[in-house]
Amino acid sequence: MTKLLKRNPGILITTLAITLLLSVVACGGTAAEPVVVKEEVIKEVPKEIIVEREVVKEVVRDVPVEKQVVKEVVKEVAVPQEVVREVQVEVTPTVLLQPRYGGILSMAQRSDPPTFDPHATSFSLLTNHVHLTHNRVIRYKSLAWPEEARYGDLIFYPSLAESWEIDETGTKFTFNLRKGVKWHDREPLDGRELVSEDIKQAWKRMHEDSSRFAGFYDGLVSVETPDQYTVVQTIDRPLASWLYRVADGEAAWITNQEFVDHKGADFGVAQDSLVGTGPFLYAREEPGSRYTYERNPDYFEQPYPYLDEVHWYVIPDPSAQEAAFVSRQIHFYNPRRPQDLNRIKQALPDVNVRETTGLANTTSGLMLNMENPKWQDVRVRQAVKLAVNNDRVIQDLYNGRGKYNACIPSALRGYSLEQDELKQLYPYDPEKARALLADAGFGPGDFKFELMTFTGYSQDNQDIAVMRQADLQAVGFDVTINPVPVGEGRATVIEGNFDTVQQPHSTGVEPDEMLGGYVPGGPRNFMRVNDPKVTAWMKEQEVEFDRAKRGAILQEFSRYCADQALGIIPNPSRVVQQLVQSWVKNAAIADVASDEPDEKYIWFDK
Amino acid sequence: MTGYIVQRVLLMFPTIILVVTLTFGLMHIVPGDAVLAQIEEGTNLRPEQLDLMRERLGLDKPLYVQYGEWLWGLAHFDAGVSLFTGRPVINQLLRAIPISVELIIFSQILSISIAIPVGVLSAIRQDTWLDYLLRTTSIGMLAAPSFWVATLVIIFGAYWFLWAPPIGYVPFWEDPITNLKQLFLPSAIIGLNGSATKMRMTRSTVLEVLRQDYVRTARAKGLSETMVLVRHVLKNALIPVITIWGASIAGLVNGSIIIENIFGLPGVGRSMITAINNSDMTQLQINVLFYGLAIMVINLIVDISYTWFDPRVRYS
Repeated sequence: MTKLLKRNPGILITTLAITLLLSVVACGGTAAEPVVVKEEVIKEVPKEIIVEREVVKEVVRDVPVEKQVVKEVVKEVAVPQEVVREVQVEVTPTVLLQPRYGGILSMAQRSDPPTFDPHATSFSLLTNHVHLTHNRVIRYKSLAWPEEARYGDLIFYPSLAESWEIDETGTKFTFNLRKGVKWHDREPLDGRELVSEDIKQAWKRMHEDSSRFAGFYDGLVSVETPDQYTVVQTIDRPLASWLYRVADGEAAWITNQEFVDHKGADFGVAQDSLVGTGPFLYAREEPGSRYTYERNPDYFEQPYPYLDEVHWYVIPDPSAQEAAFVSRQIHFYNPRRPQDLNRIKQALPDVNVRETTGLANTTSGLMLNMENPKWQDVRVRQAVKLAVNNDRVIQDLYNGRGKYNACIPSALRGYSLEQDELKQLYPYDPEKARALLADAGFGPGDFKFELMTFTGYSQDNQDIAVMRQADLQAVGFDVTINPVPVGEGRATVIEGNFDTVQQPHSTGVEPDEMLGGYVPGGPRNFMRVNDPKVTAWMKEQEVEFDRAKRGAILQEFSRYCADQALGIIPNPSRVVQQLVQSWVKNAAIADVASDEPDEKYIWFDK
Repeated sequence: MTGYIVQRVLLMFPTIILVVTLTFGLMHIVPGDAVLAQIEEGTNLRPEQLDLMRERLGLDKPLYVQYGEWLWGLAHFDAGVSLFTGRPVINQLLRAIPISVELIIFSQILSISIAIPVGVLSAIRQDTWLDYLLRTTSIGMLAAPSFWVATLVIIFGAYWFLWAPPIGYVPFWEDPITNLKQLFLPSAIIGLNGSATKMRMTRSTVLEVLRQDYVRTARAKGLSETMVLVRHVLKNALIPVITIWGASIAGLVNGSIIIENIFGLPGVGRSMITAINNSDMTQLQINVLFYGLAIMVINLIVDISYTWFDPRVRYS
């Protein structure tokens, strides 16, 4: 044998090569999904008859915020002109393309959900699952794609309740439940009907101290159930944002107390805790790998859902997620950078791009610790504001697809300022920044501070931190970036031991969520802002039910916040671009605080 | 021999206690805890709620009490529940062990089946173009970090062939073909990286043994070259290779941690990374305990195996 090898070493090499080749062939079974090339995204939603059908329902039930605040009965409210216009747009000659049943939708998230108790966390890692299995009493109008996502509009939409009323005092909310809504066919509920007592118990649970959202429902005084299909909520003071809390896509999921009690201490530990009234049933959990959901045949909103199953895969590595999309194993992918999107489009020319402008409902920014003596001088803060170049972030990082933000982000339409004004409020003026810094008594390099960033979290935030550092150093600040792990960073921010931090400030779709970051002593006031003017505005807007008047107060706050560089220099928000496999139809964006689709509407054209 | 084994086993206990104690201490040096890892920026949690969460998890107690309780539980075969997910940590570990073990076994099969024949070939063709080629290749495999190779393989595999390993994880007994598809690339990357050292060591030791008198004697007796190589050269040449292999186990574990994360394999390594990110002390401790014990046991087995490979070695 040795002689043979000596004479013919090529034999060994050939054997090895064949072994490797066979192994590669063995791996080659994941055939690329057949490509169904139809036409551009912009034409797809209009073709679908279901969208039209859904809008017809809206004609009866949709309520714009302005109407709610005048306390009219929902069913009697006239259809807003805006909705009618959408109907006209959606009806096209190609309406014949019919949705099909069947198929398995595969998506990826970076980690397992930390818990399966909907009231124990608001991480999108869990929300991605909960909105498959649960419902809220009311929700927002679905964000039809490719229409621009309109979180700021906050058009409420029926879910478990088919209508609702607000009394004259603005403290009593009556919800009229749908009849025939069934809990999942799982022990001990076994598909029984949802009744008002279930809602009462669920709200009670949300309000308990053990709930992650207890603070969110501060002000809830009582919940009454006059009959099986009516629930009356009473709050301690009029709150313009209360209905939003009832519809909130992170907090307001209706769990069943009987089921919670049945599970006891095990509730929330595993996927089988997700028993609700939603369009999908939990089916199988493979922690660290995959979570499977199957179609709920008894879902109350027929004909949804179309899909047989939804699979959430756990893929921690972003490159592996990208590879899974390119190899057609998952149906959605959010490219991290514009160049990633271009590369994927080259490899898979048929994929569709779903853009969600205005959806950037998270305010991120350079947050200044206002208790730190360094930031007491408004000239220094203004110098920071003028030194940073938001246009460069939009151009270089967002590929030109972004919007300016203020303390109330531009996604919150009607409450935020227009882009033109925002550009004037946050101009890039390094000369003036230098002058302000000098005026405050600091020469080049005299003003030193640390900019903390969180590693392994948001790549945008880390990239922007580097860009901010360059901008600030160019005008004479001496900035050191301190990257820390997320847990350590959060602890440092909560303890207040920082100069500045580049991180998300707030999530949510309602101004109250944003303003929570300015409550003196509040749990989310990471910037330690304590400004009497802001506090007064907060209280004033809280009870102002007239949307226009409330908007005016909040716009005034944004102007003041920008002028004073009060705690945060907001990042521009990016237009979120999500890639979707070509055969995925009707991928409306879920009305929860993430960019994921509403799976119940999706069907496959293949 | 028995006395030696007993002594080594007894020494494992203080060693592993030292390892987990150090891990516990290091994790508490950095700010943050499992409660903060569970919340997000837009939290509405009141400070008293945070305190309540800490109380429930036992994080309000002094560190020595937390550590003592954990050790006491362990002594009673109760490793506790994950501070992050609330699941029993032992279940998570038991679910992850087969995946990591399978990955390591496959990678070692690949590694050894490449390293030894190639090392022997390189030795018997010393200073030929083939020898130079194989040595250069092995240096290249050694120099390329496995996480970098893994990322390249995943990305280029996807873009060039529109192919990637099947996502998720399917146990071997459920679907052997899919399981092999999922594990082949990660095993190959770890295995090739590890094979470089073994191949170079095999080459050196084979060359050394080939020059020994007893090899010359064997040839003089008229034994075939194959017989000389297999019976007289390889058995002696492999002793240092086994030593290298034993010493590389810790590195192998490190490599598998990163590779599991990149390929999304829910093994012990990925569970460790997740536990570190989530400040999940109980999960991290049990995983460290497992890896520590595994490394020590494997090293013990390697040490004992010397007596079989080299009769001159005796333990007392």
